[in-house]
Amino acid sequence: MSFKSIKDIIKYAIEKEAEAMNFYTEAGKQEKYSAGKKTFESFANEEKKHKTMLEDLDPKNVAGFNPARIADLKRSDYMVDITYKAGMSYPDILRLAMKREEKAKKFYDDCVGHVDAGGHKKLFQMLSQEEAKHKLALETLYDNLMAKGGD
Amino acid sequence: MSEEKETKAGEKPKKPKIPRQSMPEQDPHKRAGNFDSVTLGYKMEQAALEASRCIQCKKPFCISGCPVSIDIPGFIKLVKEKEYLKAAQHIKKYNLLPAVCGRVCPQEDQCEKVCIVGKKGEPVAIGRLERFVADYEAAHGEVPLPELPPKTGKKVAVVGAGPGGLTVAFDLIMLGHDVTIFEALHKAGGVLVYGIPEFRLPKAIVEREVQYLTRLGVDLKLNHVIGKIRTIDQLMKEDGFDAVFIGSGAGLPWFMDVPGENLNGVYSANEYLTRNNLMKSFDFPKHDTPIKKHKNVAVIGGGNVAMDSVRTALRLGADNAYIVYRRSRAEMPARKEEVDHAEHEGVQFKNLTAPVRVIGNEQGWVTGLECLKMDLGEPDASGRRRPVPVKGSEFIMEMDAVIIAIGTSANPLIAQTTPDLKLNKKGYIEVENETTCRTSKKGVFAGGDIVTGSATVILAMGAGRNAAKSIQQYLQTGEWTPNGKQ
Repeated sequence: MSFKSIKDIIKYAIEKEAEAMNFYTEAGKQEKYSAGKKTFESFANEEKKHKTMLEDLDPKNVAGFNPARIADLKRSDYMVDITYKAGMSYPDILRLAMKREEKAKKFYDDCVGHVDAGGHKKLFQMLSQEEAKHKLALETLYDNLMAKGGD
Repeated sequence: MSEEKETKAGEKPKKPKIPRQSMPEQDPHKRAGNFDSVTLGYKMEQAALEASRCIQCKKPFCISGCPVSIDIPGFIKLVKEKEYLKAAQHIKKYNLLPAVCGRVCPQEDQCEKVCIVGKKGEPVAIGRLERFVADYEAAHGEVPLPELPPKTGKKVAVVGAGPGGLTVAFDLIMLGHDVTIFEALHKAGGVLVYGIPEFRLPKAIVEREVQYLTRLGVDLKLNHVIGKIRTIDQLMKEDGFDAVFIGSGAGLPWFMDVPGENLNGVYSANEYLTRNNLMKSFDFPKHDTPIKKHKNVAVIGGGNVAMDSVRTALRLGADNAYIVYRRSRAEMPARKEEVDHAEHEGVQFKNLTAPVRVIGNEQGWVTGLECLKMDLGEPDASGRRRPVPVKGSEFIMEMDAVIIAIGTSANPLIAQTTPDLKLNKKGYIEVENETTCRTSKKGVFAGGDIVTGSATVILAMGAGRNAAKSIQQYLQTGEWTPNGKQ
């Protein structure tokens, strides 16, 4: 995969968010019961917000980006991969989403190490940071749920 | 200098303070090798002495601290007067299962937490007194049956014979309705029989309470899995039930989803405890369902179920029984009493430790558990310090069994066969509110863990009581509008 410009990278990231949005929308449609349906719909809405944020991103602002420290609970990092199955439980849905964010973050982190252009590097860092925020939000949700169960 | 202060002239001398009476227990080393009751209960003189510590508040907070609003000062006064049978009968007006609640309720977070005596010392031991009067009653013959009202001709189905279902059944039979309980297992009691071990709650107590219900006329149908044998719709449309209460609990175990979790020797706490408590595997060959003896057992989790599992593992003969918990002891949701008991019995605590892999041999059996040390991170927006892994802290513990006790959710069977039953996003049944317990389906009510997620016995009983009142209102009026209003 090669990116010629910052616009290319943003375009790619928008496509990834759109793919995630479609994934959750389709999963929601396949759910027969209200519980899973609601959760997937809420995730699809969240991805839509991420996509809009990228669409509104001005490439000129990338150079001024300074990475912030985002906590990483690493809840999903030690888990086995999980694939979507209709009717999966709420914790499984959270695991599925956490794993997707973990992979997305890792992808952008890898990209940071493979580019030389300062602007490109900054943008990948920015994208990685966004995924780290999503991962943290999901892992916090998951951690709260599991803490109640004694985990 | 003497600790006793001199009384000033003219002042009435203060009565010496009676300390909270401790409860006799089996010796920790001895009890770790048997399934007999850990705590032995008050003797009569101890109970009367403890009861005399109650100051009979005019506005007793303890009643509002109790999810089923037992008249606590009322029954304690009767204990003080040594009217033990009357005290038991008094509690039973509010609570069908006092012998159970006296043993397993988290009183320290409920009635005893708000006890006025506890403001300047230790609270009155309400739970121990409740247990005492219930046990006294049981030891002194069969409880006389109350007079039942004339039959109303209405039929109610109760799905699940756990604490919530038993409470609903009791309240509704006392109102003259015909009540049938459908229980999936071969014994009634729900978590009281499959979940809580014999050494914390002897099963004879639960059996006695269930028998009391059947003597009152409740029809108990065991081995009836609703959602398989009959659906909720069939119960209402074909079997003539006017209302249904769903109290099927939250019995679907959660797992960690780490590599190696499918190895032989990995159990859900549900399976491990059910094999022991319900199937009596500890009593093989008297009961024909043995369980493999394990030497090194890790129980994952820090709740009451984890404590029950690890203490069971010790009693089954484990050389080393560990609690592996990712947070610190302060975050453990288990009752302090249970954690202390586990520690005294020899359970080893590995706190701030998270399993990341179960290791197995070529035959597919567990041989070890790889863990990471955890540290509490910076407080987040909610102020909570969450555990984060310490880089490079991996280590392996030799293990031949791993028991996962990190929570449960609702079994989806009833929801899957009742399409018009609304669930929340976590998969629990949505009810209008905790008072009416009405679901999205007319005539169907729900309460307990199937609504709230895993909680306590007494909260399920409280939900059962509310549901019974709501069912009564529905059966009398036929109204199904928000909050029962026209």
